[in-house]
Amino acid sequence: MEINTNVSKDEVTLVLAGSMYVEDAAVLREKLISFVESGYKQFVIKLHGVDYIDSSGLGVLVAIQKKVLPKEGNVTLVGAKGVVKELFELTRLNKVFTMQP
Amino acid sequence: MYSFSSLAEFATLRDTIRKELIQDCEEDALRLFIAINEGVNNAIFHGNKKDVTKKVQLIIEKSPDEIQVIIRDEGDGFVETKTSDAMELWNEDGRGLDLIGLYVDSYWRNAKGNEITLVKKISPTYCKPF
Repeated sequence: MEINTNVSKDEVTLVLAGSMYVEDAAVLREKLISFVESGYKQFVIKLHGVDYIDSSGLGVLVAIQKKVLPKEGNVTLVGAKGVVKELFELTRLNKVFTMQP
Repeated sequence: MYSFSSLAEFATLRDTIRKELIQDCEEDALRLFIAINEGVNNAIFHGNKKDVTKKVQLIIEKSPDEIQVIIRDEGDGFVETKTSDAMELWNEDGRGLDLIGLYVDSYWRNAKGNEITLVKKISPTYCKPF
């Protein structure tokens, strides 16, 4: 999986591409946690290029949302499609995140 | 049959397995792969507890109208607790069995708890686009 990061003054944008398996989720977790620990709380994660995400990837995103929501932060997921979009809907995680087309 | 002892070994087989599943319906093949991947991760992490001296066996058997998948580890067996029917939204883990339940037509564990069998219908009438 490719993870490209764009950091502005108060927002971190991650552009993901490929399949997110358990080992990719671990890398993503470390990356996101380091930003949270540096004080960032607004995250935009672009999923247009993601064709697969497993339960570990879903768990990482939930973990980050749990960390930033109490700080009035948010994780916005953009561009989920296909089975990735279906997974968020079936697990009702589309209610945990701000989902944008 | 596939046999592997670590996540790294399984990672080298994922694309082959995904392709093997595709028959008439790519979408349902991917849905079945989701269930297989979750079952294998459970076998590696919870069954064999990441012990690379222990193997995971993955057996895929096709019939005209369904695919049956057996995932067997060499651990002592474990009982995975299903989160709940409603799924605990804010849990960071524990969704594996929920995803298996969502993406196969039926599944069961053996008595020891070291083997799970998944069944997915493959009739084109079951094929559902995303």
